[in-house]
Amino acid sequence: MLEKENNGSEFLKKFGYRSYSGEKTGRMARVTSIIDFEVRSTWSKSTWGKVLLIIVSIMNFFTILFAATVSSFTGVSNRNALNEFIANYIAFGDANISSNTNPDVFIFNPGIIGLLLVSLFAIAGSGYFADDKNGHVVEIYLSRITKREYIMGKIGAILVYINIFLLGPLLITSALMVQSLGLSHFKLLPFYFKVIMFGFAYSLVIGLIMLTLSTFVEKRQYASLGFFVIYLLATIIGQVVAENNPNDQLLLLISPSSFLVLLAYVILGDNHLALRTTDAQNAQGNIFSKTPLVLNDGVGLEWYHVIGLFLFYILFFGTLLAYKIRKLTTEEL
Amino acid sequence: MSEMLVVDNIIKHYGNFLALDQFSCTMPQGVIGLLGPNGAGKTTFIRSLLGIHPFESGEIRFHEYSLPKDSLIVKDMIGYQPEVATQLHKITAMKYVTHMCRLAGLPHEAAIQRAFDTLHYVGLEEARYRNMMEFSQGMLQKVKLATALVHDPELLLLDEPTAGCDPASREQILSLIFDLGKNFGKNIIISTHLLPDIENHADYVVVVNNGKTVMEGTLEQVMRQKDTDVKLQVQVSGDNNQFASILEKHGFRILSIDGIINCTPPKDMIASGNYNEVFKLAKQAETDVRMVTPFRLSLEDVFLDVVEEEK
Repeated sequence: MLEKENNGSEFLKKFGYRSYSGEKTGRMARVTSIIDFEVRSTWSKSTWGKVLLIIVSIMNFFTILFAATVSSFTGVSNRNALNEFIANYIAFGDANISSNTNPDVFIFNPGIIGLLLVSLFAIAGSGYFADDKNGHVVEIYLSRITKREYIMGKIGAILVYINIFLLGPLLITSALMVQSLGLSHFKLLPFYFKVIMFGFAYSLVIGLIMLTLSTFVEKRQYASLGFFVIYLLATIIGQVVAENNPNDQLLLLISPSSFLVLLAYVILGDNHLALRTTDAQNAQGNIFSKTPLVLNDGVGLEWYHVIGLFLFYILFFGTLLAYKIRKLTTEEL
Repeated sequence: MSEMLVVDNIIKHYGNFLALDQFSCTMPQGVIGLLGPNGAGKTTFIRSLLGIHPFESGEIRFHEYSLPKDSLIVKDMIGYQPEVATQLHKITAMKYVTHMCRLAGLPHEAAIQRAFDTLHYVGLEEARYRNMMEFSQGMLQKVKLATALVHDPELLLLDEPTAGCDPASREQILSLIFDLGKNFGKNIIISTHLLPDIENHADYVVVVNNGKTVMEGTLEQVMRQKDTDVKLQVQVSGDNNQFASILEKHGFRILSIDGIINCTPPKDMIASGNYNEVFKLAKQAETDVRMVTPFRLSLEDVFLDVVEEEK
């Protein structure tokens, strides 16, 4: 017994500092380690975030269930139903923009998911820089990696995080809808690719805005609240302005929600859209009046306006983010 | 001692404020004390060395590597412990140190093993899996030390490593640091304004003030540079002021008189270590000597003296 105890303490004494002579990873592995760490630790950082995750998961379950049985529910067997679904999945409420197909393929607008997703991403992304500043760890990061690697890691993390909850459910529901509509998965491979492109574009816009806000504040709550309020107000104001000026289609871009819906249609290659109004029954007795919105007719809003605004957001917020990290003050490190 | 770090005329501004003013020094291998009052430029120098705040001109050479050109290589060779308390929201010490180890280039499995060992080494074996938000200041300092050490760097840069610690934690951290220097051959730069932290352990000292090096050398050299290695404290039964003027006439340099005469004896007296002259002078002045005590100046006295001179 005594011998065992002696061996134990001897081991502890020997268990001192040990040198390391093993291999070292490359620079990109350090960026991926930030992505890995941030995505994993985001779960544990906010209780409200966990609640939202549960709600989003439940909503997604019903969405997937609907997608799997869409044909029997609606009788729709139109390819454009897919675009309609993807674009409106991320809409905040009802964006009133649909595919202008005949017959009408308006099927299911899960609008509330768009709102929940924005809230979820706001909570997740808000801490990526704010928590580091608040915990004074930026300096330790920058003592090991470059500012560029640090930014790349954080952007990578928000892209991965957003797409886990956006692209994952979108691809599953799309696949089930394709199955339900009796379409060929193989023939729709370009469609799946475009869905992935859209997920990437959406996460880049939302992620960059979120991260930029996160660099300017000390506490994650301020960034998430700020983002949510800006998104909410801009969407409401944008939609009111656009509805009151139906002849100026460019005003549709003011609302972030409408912009993202339009971006989805453009990336999915659907340029023949319609603006729905639901305020009165029209002559045909339909609840919805539809005004054509063609994005490649050279009149009013065009597809390149949407892409241009997308690029502007990326460049503006990307540059602002890089500038802010480059110019971090000694107090912020 | 062979050169480890050569800093040559580096300049760094923050807006209009000149933080490093042609800062130069040559640091050998071993335990180095980077001393200076708050705002002297110590942290700015460290951040320049790490490439966090690039310097505008000059050069830093770390062994054969030159900064800023070889910044990425040098970053991997340095373990940095910043001054401020670092903590991440709802993260355990183990996860945090593992993450920082991976950022320094160790593969995932090796990083976990190193984090486990290093947290044990700094005395946090019981607290490894606890949330860092629950840690005391002393424990957070140990986590920072573990973070700096975890990738086995060649040089440890410790900025005020005992800031905010209670006496027991301070002792533990200092013994860990000096154990690393003495028994594991780590090069360590300790930036501090708490001179007792390094007084008995530093091999070399660089004193910084107003962004410049005001003094550098081994502890012995620094003390000798100020020519103040031995002082005398004298007290007489009569008028101390009167006796101080007698001492001054006989080559003593009077430093202060407040109940006790603090003075520097003439050099030949320092060399011989014989202070009978004081008694002779007292006899001539018809007064009794109550105390003659030689004492050695502390590093803190020298430091304060140098900083005061700079002002």
